[in-house]
Amino acid sequence: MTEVKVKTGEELNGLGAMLKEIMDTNLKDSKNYKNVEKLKGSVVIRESTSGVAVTLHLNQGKLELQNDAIAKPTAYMEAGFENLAHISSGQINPIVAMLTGRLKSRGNLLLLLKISKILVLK
Amino acid sequence: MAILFGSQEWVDALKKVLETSQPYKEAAKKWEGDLYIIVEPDASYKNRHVLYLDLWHGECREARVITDENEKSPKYRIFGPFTNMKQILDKKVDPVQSMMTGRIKVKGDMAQIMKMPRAAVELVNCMTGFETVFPD
Repeated sequence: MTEVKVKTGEELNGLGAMLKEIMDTNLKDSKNYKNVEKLKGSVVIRESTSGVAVTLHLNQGKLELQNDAIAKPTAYMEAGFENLAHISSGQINPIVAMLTGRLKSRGNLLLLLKISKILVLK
Repeated sequence: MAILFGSQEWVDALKKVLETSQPYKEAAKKWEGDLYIIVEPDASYKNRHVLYLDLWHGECREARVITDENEKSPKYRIFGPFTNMKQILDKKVDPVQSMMTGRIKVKGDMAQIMKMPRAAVELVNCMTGFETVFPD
């Protein structure tokens, strides 16, 4: 079973721990893993109220989370806790969230869309 | 009158606030699951407190101090060091920020929390809905 790894020597912040749990749950389904196994890049996810961020690194089947935002990610997304929760629980479609400004994003939006397969609980 | 944190009176007061809070009832109307609030000792406080809340569809069915942590197997465990918990109850730090930074940790079914994030926020708001005094 594929799991999201944590950068060596780090203990994930609360945001990272939550996202890891969601992604690990989704990755138990091999169909979800297939959707991301060929992806390459890095995505910064930030909770806007607290400013807390994590970076998800994708490298052809290997997924790793680290605390904080890296300088030049492939894609970036940011939302408040409640909106992040609503997106992760599937109550708000990520595209609708982007279009309505509840989710701010930049960079490679296609990558964001693809990783939503593992960031959104079914 | 301020109520001593960690006492049965404190969880009784919290139960009363949960039962009368409309924002909590509204946010937690689909909430199913009991929880432990675990206050861990740190440099400023040497004791450990475990408080139990049985929350069900906006109601608080049971609230009490737990002496044997193995007594229940709650769906959620919210835990953190005394100083961090105190800062939240004193309204010095935002509970969401504490959760995001990992100063307060939550273990359990994250899917439900993600579906009802406001319920978690309103639960904490209820904890600050009465005056608390902390043990020395």
